[in-house]
Amino acid sequence: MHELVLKNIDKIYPGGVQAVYDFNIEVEHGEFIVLVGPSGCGKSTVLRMIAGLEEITAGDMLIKGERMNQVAPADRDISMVFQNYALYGHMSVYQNMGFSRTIRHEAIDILHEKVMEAASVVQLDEQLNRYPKNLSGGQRQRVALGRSVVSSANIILMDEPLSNLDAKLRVESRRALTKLHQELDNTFVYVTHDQTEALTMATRIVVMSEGRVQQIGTPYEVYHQPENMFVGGFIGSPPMNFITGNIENGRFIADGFDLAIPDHLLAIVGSFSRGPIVLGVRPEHFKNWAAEGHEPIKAEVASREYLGNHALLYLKIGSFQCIANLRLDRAGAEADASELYIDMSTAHFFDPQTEMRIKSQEEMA
Amino acid sequence: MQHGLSRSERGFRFFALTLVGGFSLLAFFPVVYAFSASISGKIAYETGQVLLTPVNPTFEVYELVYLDKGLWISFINTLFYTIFGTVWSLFMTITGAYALGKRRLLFRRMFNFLVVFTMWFSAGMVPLFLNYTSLGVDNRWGIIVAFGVQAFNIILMRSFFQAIPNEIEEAARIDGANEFQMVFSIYMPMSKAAIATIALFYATSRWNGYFWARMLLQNPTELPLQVYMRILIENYRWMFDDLPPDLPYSADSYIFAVLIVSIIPVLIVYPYISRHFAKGVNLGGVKE
Repeated sequence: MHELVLKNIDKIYPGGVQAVYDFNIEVEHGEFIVLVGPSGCGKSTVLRMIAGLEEITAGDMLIKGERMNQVAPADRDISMVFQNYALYGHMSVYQNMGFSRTIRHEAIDILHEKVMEAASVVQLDEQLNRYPKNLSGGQRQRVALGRSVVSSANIILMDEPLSNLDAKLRVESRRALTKLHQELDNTFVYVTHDQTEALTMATRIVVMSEGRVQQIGTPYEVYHQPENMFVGGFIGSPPMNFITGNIENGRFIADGFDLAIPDHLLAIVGSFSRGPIVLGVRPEHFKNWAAEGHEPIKAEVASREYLGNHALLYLKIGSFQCIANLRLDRAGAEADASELYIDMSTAHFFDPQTEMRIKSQEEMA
Repeated sequence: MQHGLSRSERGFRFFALTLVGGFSLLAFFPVVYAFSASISGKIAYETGQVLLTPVNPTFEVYELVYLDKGLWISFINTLFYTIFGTVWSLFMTITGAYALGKRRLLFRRMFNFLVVFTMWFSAGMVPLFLNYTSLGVDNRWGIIVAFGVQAFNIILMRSFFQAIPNEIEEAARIDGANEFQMVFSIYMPMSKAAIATIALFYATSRWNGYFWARMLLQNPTELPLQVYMRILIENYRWMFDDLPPDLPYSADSYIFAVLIVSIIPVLIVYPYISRHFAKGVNLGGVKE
């Protein structure tokens, strides 16, 4: 049985604004689902509907096969970590973590055991008697996590829990969260606007934009097989380069581009030979060495960012602006565009009308 | 003068201290004078020798105060009005403010309007009096219940509750708190400072409650201290006609002594409550 099912979920606010359109997902037990998208894409609304903090306008939500649309948040077997932590300032760390059980008048020995267990999981053993105001940002965030652990809810919802931490702590917390997910036997549903967080932690990513699901897939799938131009541009940093051109005689032609298309791609996009088509190239698929499938390209470097083992080149190719991410760990590798290739074997083509990626028959099936 | 203060800062400091000092003296003088007058000798007081400090001090008048049964009954009455009145008022104000601040409350705008309306418009004294008497507000519990809330305090409390981030409430809801647990386990402890302030407002207004108690209460054994004192002031000269003329204190001293006794409880309680003032409790609970 699926742990969590959202079926045809719509959310329309009283003012008439529709925040979520026809959201569908089936989540298995133990998954780490990350909802990602730009702000205002409806990802938080979906999370809040799962939590029961927002009403579901239409559609069904099931947890362990039971319809939950009208069930109170406390009875949904969920817990939630908020972006601003939402700790109870007047309670100690211990009381904060135990609150969900205190309020249900749970026996004190079970409560104590659960809190101590959670405290060691989130490494707050030493801080149990302190108050939120005396904790650092990272510690507060762990208290919020600990609260979820104590509640023993099957599904833990997280609303951008790392966005208030500084960059270094965020990287550490990402690893800690992944570890926590492995240790606990819980399902995580996590909301973020940071595609790095999505790629690093998720077992499956849900990419959203303007209230609609753009793609659901593993980090590998959303990165390497983006469903459409939005996903291609949103996942990955720097974003994918898009070049609008035409296919003529098995070559991709655009201002400044004249690239041979490998056979396996040509078989898919052959039918587009009469209209414009969009080529998608990830920055790291610009190469500074020749190899099979690497098509040479003439580019002007507008500016460059040196990053140690790699460099970002901001290129001007014909009338197009592109970003290239060049590896510098090869012998004699230079961060310039004197010799530049595009690895066409990894390129994607998109239909400019629908913005959808053009797929092979096998992929469609 | 301290180093590092500019001339204008020094000027401001001097001005501020003078102002605060002046007002403190104005407030402090009557209390000191009342105390001095209560323990000064009869001749010294009646010849106008008492200006600030006591002259020929004698505490004998306090024996008379101690023996005044009516005073102690009214004292107990006032304690009763203050304690139960404050608890009742706080309960009504806190639960009312919580509900009025919630968007999910049906007809919220209308209820809020009705509460605020009473702040700007009042029916006037005579209609109020008729209303109270017809509702049977002429006994102890009547006084406590009928003067339960002041609209201003509800609005104050509501604003304070609304400053608590929504996420706190949502977290508590997910943790399983019902509305009452929400109010008593989350909102109240997070608003200690505001509650202390409002409790003090209610307690002082109950302690000093005079007008409506005098208008409404029928039974002399239910009178609060302030009403009893007023009646005493109206009548004490006749009372002293029955006492021996060679008393060491003046009749006025007796009134001053009663006055001093009546403010002692406030003096004792105030420091405990003032500790809670201006102390935010929710610091650090959410990331600002």
